[in-house]
Amino acid sequence: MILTIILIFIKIVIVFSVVMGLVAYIPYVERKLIGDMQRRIGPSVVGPFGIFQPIADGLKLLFKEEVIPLKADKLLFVLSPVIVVCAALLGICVIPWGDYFLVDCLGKPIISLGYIANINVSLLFIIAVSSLGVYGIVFSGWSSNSKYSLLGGIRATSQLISYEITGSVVILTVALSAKSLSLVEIVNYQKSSVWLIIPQIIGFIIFLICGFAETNRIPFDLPEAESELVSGYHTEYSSMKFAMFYMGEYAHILVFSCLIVVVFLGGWLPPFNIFPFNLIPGTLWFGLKVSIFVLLFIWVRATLPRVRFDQLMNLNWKILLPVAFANFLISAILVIAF
Amino acid sequence: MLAYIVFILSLITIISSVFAIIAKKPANSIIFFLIIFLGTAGIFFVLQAEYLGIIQIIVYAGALLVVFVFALILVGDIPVYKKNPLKLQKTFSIILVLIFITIFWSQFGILLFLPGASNLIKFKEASDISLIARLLLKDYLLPFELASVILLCAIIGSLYIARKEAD
Repeated sequence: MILTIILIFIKIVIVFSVVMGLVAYIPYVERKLIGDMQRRIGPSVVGPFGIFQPIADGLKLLFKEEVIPLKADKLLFVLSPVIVVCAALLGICVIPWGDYFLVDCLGKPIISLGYIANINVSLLFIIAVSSLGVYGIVFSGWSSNSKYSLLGGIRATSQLISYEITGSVVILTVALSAKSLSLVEIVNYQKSSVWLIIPQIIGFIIFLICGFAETNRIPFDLPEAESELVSGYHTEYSSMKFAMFYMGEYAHILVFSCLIVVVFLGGWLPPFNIFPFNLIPGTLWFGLKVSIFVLLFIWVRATLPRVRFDQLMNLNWKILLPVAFANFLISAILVIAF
Repeated sequence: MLAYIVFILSLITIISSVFAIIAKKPANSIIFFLIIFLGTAGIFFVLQAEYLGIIQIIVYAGALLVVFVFALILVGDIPVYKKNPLKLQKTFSIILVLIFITIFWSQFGILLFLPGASNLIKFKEASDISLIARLLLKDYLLPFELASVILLCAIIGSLYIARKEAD
């Protein structure tokens, strides 16, 4: 009993530190890669290849003066970056990142499973938790008492709510195909049949677009459109609170990449269950697939221009949502028929 | 152990519901509302009814409260009364609430901390989605559909009222 609790605690510490390390280093990779794509050097001064740049940035932000606007709503102003970070990070605790493995514990082996918590509705848990992130954004916009922040907050909220609906319909379709709402069960289903990206390719594309919109990334980064809104809902934030918004954004990207890998790309499973592939441990496969999606986020940022707000809404309500519903109905009919 | 967690969560929920009512700014009320929903969801989680807890968060915190937030942003700040016009009611209501809390907790608390209570308050069946689905879509299909029809009527009615004013 106590050993199990200690094991869970160790797993929490490991997963959390890995995630925080990645959240610190994804911006570095992003700056370096975008630098390469735009024929610049990118960060290169701090350490070899600028590898200590995130640490330097973090220290700089930590020592900056904190400014709270005079007419801001203090409670909400302080609380909203916390909500953003918590909502983004909470989802990671139900993501399965590997198959079971044996831990040698005082001479006797204990089977440990590759996730922190396995609740039987973990897919819904991620939707629920990420929907709470809206509050951080809308309250940061409202409490700053600045028109740029307010407009950014309103834009972010309407964008998040509308894309959440489409994403949830796709998630429902996937749950229908796999006949379970548990992420572990969905991976096990993909082990026995094919990866869900093959039957659900339309759902996969729609979900990927929703992911870009929900993480407020280019081409859907209207809430923080620099040319119109200074920097959107976090215009008035400074010092560590500003850094927390960035942490929230990158943690959100990471959780979304994990989710799409688990749901559509077979999680920790190797692409083919034959000799050279199944030698590599599952967690490594999982990390490889997740990093592909994180790189895709960066690549898209370097490539695409920003869309207009009416284009964003039209894309969701007139194209993605009807297609997602049609996909849902057809999948439901096929599931019942076969 | 379980009983203590339920006790603490219910304490948080009750205190924040009081604050949601007496908060001066509507925005703070919404934050306390959020804590109420999360606390209730937490109680469901402790009772191993994860599905209900998550639906609580998705429906109430994720959808319903966002509408309140939008109303708050569109309406803007409501002027705060310097002098409370409902002073008498406030005193009475505080006394009544205190009496209610004492009665409720003296009963509920005893129930909660009885030996073996932690076995009583687990309802594992509530986390079984297929069981819930069978209940909703097979055994109680008619009430379930009736509820959705009522909701549809409410949506159409509110749209009709809103449209009439616009024309």
